[in-house]
Amino acid sequence: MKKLVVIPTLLLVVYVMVAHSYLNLLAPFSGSLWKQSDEKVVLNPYGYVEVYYDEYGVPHIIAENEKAMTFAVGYIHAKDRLFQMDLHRRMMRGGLSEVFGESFFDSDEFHIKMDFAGAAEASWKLIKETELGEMLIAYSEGVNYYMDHNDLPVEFKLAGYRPEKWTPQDTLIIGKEMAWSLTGDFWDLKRALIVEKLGESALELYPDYMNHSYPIIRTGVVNKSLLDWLKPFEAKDGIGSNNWVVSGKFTANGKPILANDPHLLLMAPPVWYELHLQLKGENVRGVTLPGVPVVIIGMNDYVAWGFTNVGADVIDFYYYLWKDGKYYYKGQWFEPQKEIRTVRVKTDGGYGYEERKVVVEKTVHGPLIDKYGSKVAVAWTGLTATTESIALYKYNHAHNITEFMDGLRYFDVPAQNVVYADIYGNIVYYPAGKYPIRSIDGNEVPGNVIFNGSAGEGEWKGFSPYGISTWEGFIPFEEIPHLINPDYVATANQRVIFGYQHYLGDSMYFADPYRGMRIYEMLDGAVNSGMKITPEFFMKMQRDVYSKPAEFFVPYILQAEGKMSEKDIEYVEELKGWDFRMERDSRAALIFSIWLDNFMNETFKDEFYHAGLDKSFYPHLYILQNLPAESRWFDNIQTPEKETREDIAARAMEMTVKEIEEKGYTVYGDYNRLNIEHPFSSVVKFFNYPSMPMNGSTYTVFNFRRAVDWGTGVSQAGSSWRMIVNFDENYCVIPGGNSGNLFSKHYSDQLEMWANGKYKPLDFEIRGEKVIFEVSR
Amino acid sequence: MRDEIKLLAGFIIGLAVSYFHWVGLIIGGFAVGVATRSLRVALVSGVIFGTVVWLAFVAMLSANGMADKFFAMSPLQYVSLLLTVIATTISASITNFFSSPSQHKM
Repeated sequence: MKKLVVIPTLLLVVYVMVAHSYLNLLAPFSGSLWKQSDEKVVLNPYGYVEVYYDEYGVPHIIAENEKAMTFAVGYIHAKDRLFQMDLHRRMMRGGLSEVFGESFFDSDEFHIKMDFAGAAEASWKLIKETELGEMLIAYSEGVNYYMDHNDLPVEFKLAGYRPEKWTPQDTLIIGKEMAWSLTGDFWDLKRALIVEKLGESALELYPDYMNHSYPIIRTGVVNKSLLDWLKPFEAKDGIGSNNWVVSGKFTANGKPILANDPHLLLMAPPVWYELHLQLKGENVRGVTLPGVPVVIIGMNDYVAWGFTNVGADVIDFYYYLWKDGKYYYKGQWFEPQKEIRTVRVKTDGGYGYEERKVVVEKTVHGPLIDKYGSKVAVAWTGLTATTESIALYKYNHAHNITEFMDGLRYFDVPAQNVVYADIYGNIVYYPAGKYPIRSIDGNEVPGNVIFNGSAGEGEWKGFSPYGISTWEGFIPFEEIPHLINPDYVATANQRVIFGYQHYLGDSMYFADPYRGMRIYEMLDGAVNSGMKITPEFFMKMQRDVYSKPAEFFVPYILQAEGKMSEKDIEYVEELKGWDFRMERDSRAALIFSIWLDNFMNETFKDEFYHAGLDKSFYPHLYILQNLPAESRWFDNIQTPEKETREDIAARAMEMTVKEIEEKGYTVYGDYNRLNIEHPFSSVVKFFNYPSMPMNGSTYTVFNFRRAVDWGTGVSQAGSSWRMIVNFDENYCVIPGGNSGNLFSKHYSDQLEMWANGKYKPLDFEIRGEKVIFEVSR
Repeated sequence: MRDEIKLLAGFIIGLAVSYFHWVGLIIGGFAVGVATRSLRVALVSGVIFGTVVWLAFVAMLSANGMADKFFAMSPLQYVSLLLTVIATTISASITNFFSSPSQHKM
């Protein structure tokens, strides 16, 4: 009998040894794949805090002092978004390949060479002695408390690593990431390559200004391999936003009303984390970035604010004369500052590691990107000590326009179109940020070229890479074009103003004007009709799917009917009488959307691909719209005939019909589908959000971009937060849910609401399930 | 009757502990095995106990509106069932042999 007992016992021991990690992950009830942290009492070294999770998992945090509150925010961010926080700091520090394998080495190499970590360290040196510095320490302690006392999110188990302790520099590097994703644009390099490949005459497609009437303020040495390598790391075309604010003179409740929806990459979990903070009876609510303990877009009891990206040119590139590893600068030869960093890279399908060296080199202008025989230094406004975190902290605490404007002065990077409203009736538009002034031989010049770094051309006075800048060579804050108490103002990443004395960026730095046009049309219409604006009207505006491109381009299609087959004409019939709304059940929207891509491609493909330039080099849609019908760009250089716009429009329709029939699409929603993915989506699909048909397009106010090219893949982008504030009724929604934990009921509980243009209240009412942070002894 | 009570107690204890840790599967399997008089019955009890724990978990997910997510994780939900049933069945077979030899009916 003893033998019989021993056999199954041994079998059990072997089973547990082999399967314990799977049991930890997948056991019913206790498996970490579905188990939620349910700690109800947390020890807080700074003071007493109560946290209430409401019906959407939004934490309402009431604290006896600010450090205690910030500790709690750290804990809560970690509880709901720890993997997301770690993933982003890891990317910015260049540590992805250590845990996800060698396919991420290029990303690590780029981020290490740019030394974003050094820039975050510089910012920390500047702010660590301030009140905010103490907050960032408390926040880090809150994050680390969570890590030390709870199971890690399942993603860490699937990836097989433990995160390191959180630090204040990690918070600052998350801020640098957002800034880079909005302003890290390699257009200057692309422009140089276009000139090289297509000649100076091609610059007609990239004018200094796009000739439209809807600015925000209506008064007034490169190779293709390098660019291919850089493409995944630059600001994406899908990044853009809308905000607008209307004076109380035109509103139903007599108070100003403000709307904002930043368009960012759509991901699971979402970019933003919503929370409400209450300290000494004063409230602030809005969205934070996981890893950053202040509300970035939101409102308090007195003021509300929103952002869109200015898109200005705040990055420059410099080439040098090189000899024996030294670069020539203003008459002397200098050794670049050099440091060799070691990256641990997971290899052999995850079973081995190897160490690779990355050389970090810096000139007087900034880090060197040395790849495929090209060598340029990069100056970017974020690669120095910056104080946008102080600005945001001040916004959170502002009681009035004076205190808010004081905060605006600290906003260095990314330059943002800030709209503001307060309970006293003030509204403001201010594109806050640092804008460099470049000069050659004492003459101010635009920054859309690669400068001769050896001659000291175009360099930024007062800019100290990885140090503390004095900024004297930048546009003074007071001289930045802005509006205080206009009737209303709308921003949608279009050009700030025409005729401004300083260069802010050429046409490729600013968005097509279509969203800006449409928003101004709707606001003009409402104000001119004498209607009193309500939050419901603003919701209707944020839901608006009217396509200005459709209004302008459909006539080109109709003009080309004579060159189309009968079958194609049947499709064109669908466009006649169409209301130009990009709705998911519309067949006309389907036809137009696919046709527009084909029309753009058929116009430029022959010249650009022939020169080795891909779609990412194409000009703006607004430029295509305004090309004369006989423009040389419509002629296909590979055919003997001379094509015109009508020929290309007809050919694009032929291709559209073929694609629709091959793919079996019937309506726009078959093509325009929401597919929001988790970072693990290439391995497992269950973290992804449910797919659904969508309204909207790249160019509509209700913004949804079904395919944003990263260079290494395609993602989706769109409204990452919709907010409407008139101080009596305030609304918001995020694309997904507040929790990053798959089995939380708040993982994607706002997704359908967001997709359908619905909202939830943005209020200061304390409610929901309670967690206590007790004072630790 | 005492065996049935033991079996029920084993089920309840195992289920309760399983809520907090997978060791509950082994404890529960062990406990239901104690209540049986033959290896065959022990094995069957182990399988049933493991399946009941797994179904109770699915019921809880369903009550929380999470069952769809769980069943979208294929094949992980079935791996979860398999891991559970193997653990409870092996555990049940061990405990059966702690019973008196006269009770064995191989």
